[in-house]
Parts: sequence; C-alpha cells; structure tokens
Amino acid sequence: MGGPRMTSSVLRVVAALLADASAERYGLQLMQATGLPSGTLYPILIRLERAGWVVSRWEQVDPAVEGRPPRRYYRLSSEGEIEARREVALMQRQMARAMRPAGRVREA
Amino acid sequence: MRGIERLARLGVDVAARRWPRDVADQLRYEWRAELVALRDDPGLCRSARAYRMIMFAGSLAVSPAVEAEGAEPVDRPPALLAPAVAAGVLLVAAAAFNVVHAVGYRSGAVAGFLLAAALLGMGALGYHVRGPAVTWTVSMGAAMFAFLMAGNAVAVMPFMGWRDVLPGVAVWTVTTVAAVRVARRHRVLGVLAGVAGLEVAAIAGSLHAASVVKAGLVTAPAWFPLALLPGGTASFGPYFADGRAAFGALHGSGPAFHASDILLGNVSAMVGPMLLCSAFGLAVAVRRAPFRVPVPRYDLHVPLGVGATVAVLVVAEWLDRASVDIGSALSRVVDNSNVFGFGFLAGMSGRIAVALVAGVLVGQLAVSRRARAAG
Repeated sequence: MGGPRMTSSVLRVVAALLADASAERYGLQLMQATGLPSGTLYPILIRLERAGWVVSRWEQVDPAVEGRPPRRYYRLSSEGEIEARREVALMQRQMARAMRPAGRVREA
Repeated sequence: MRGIERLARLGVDVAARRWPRDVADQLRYEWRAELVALRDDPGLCRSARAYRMIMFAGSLAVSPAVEAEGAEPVDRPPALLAPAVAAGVLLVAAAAFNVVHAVGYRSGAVAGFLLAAALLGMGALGYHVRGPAVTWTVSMGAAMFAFLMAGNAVAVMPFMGWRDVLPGVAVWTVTTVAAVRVARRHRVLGVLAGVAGLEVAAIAGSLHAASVVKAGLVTAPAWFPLALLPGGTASFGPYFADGRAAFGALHGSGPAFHASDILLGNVSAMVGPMLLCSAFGLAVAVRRAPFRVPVPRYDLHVPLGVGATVAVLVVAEWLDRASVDIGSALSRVVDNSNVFGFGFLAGMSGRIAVALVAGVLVGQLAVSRRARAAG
C-alpha cells in the first residue's frame, strides 16, 4: 500500500495525531488541533485511513439514551505511527537544514 | 437555530453526495454527528455555534472530495484559480479588443489583422493552459457580467444596464458551455457552435438597445459581424443629422450619425471580449488536458504575485490620472473607438480586485513555470 502524499496539511494532521499516538480523536478535535477547515481535514483523514496510517472506529453509545448520534474516532495505526514519526523527523531535518546559516552549509 | 442547523445539514448532505460511494454514507453520518456536537457545545454562544456549523458544512460543500478507492489521485485547481483565470482572461480580452477597435477606427485592414492575431493569441493561451473548460467558461460569464456592469457605472456605453448585459451574458454563457462540451469531441462543430452562440448572445444583449434607438429587428443577424468592423461600415435606423441625441443617461452632441452607430458600438463592448473569451474557452476544451497541481521548489511565486499586484495598482493610478473627459463619450461611442468600459479602475475596490486577480495569476504562472523547469 503506497504512503500518502506529504503536504504541509497532511503533516499537521499527522503531527496532531502523534502528539498522543494512543489517543483517539474525533474530527472537531483534529480541526482545533491543526487549524484546518473541515473540507481540508476529512479528505486527508480518508486518504490516511486508506493508506493504513490511521484507523477509525464508531463511538459505542446508544443515540436514544445520549440524545446524540455516535461520533467517529481516529487514531494512528501502529504502522502509521512508525511512518508518521519518520516523516515528521524528515521534515524537521529539512527545516533545520534550511534554517542553518549559509557559512555552515558551505563547511558541511 | 433550527434553520441554521437545517441549512448546515443540507450542506453536509450535498458534500457527502460528491464523495465515493464506499465512504459517502459513513461521512454523512459522521458530519451530522459533528454538527450536533457543535449545536450543543456549551462553551460557545448561540451566534458562534451557528457560525461554526455553517463554516463546517460550507467548507465541506466547496472542497473537492477524494477519488474512489484505487483510482488515480486527481489534481484539482485551487479554489481561487477559476475566478482569477476568468477575470484575468476577460480583462486581457477586453483590453485586446479595445486596442483592435481603436486601431480599426483608423485602418480597417490593420484592425482585421489585429483581431485575427488577438483570436490566435487567446486560442494559443487557452491551448497551453490546463484546466476545466466548463468551469472556467461559467466563471468567465460571471466575471463578464460583473465587469460590464461595474465598468460602465459612468455611462460610456448608453445601453449597458442589466436589461442589456444580463440576457447577453446569460446566453453567451449557456451557449459557450454547450459549444465547449461539443468541442471536446468535434472541434469544428464546437467552433461553429461557439460562433452561433456569439451571434445569439449579440442579439439577446441588444434587443433593448434596438427598441430604444428604433433599429429594425430585421437587421439583427448582422449585428454581431458588423460590431467587429470599424464604425460606419453599415448604417441603418433613424438618422440624427445634427448629431444630437439622448439615450438613457447619456446626453451629448457631435457629428451626424445613424442609430446603428450607437447600437453597434454598444454591441462591440459586449461581444468583442466575448469573442476572445470564446476562443480561449474552446481552445482549453480542445486540448482536454487535465489540470496538474504544480509543485513549487522555491517561493518565487509569492514575491512575483505581490509584485504584479502592486504593478496593477500603480498602472491603475496612472490611468486614472491620464483619463480623458467623459463628456466626449457620445462621439467615442459613434466611432467605436472606445468599447469595453474599464470604469471600475476608477474606484479603489475595483483596483484592488483587479490587482488581486493579477497577483494570483502571476503567482500561479510562476509556480507552473518552476514546476515545468523542475521536470
């Protein structure tokens, strides 16, 4: 299964999920954590799920008792956590390289 | 709140319908659950809850869905690109046609050559850009309506109110979309359909003017071709020997003229840019190349876009200071030397809108070139 195309928005979602990899989050929480609008977030979540990086499950509640429909929760899969850490680390290295002063780049 | 909730639910339902079947139902259920959570959020005031529900649903409704599972990812143009392309193409077409007509007043042969060159240029531009031809055509129609109405707030053209612009632009949009669809399969038929659409649009946009200046409807089929020719090529309708006339808000005097001079000058302002926009839209359709989102390596597109925005503001200021006396408008209508009105550049909001269009387009062009160079 191919990995998702990494864009800054995908990285934000991945980083938000990595903040506590074992925690489950629903869409509105991820929108708050990433600052992304719903129209950007949900396509990313679907693509991450198809790539096997994210798994989702429906909340186990009785809508009649709770007075609201169940929500869908997302978290990183074990494979997704490894890949996500790798991508975030790669991005951090690239950022560090870009921020390095020109003189030090030449020395390297 | 119930109305807002209903509207938001409608928004997420519409959005879900665009998604692949394997996920659409689950997503609709999920989004409705999130709307309920927003509605019942105790940490938000009533207006904030309504705002966030509408934003949640609106964002989903206007954003592209993911492709079906297993399908190749489809790149889609950024949301702002369609209106920016439409406005940019229209302004280029209008400026080009104004130049053609300004020259045509002095030399019909040179004007014919320039018009052919402008048509080829717009066609070449359309052939080399990739994008959704139908979406861009509809956007061009909307831009045309807005710019024609805004550009003639000061009456350079006597018949440029909604009764003239609305039917003309609506007919052009509908017929050109049909022509664009046909052109995807049959190029020649598509071009013929486009020309027929322009003919009908010219008539639809001029019926009101013809009734006011008392130009006979029997001449209607000739309005479109005559509007492309220098003023005075053909004359019909009442003759104003002393050059005095009052049409709508426009009062003036000048050389003697026929009603057809006024009518055809007015038609020019509408169908000239339409003709060049049709060439662009049909060329995009003929190419049938899918849009590819370019991947920039450097951020040159940002300074270039900002530079273009500032440049347009400077040019607009210069044009405003160099503008001629509006009192000579009627004689300019008669000789067809002034067609598409750029009156919107006189106001700051119009200038900013045009400057932003230029910024977005130049920025996008810089990204595309960089991506092409990067291979």
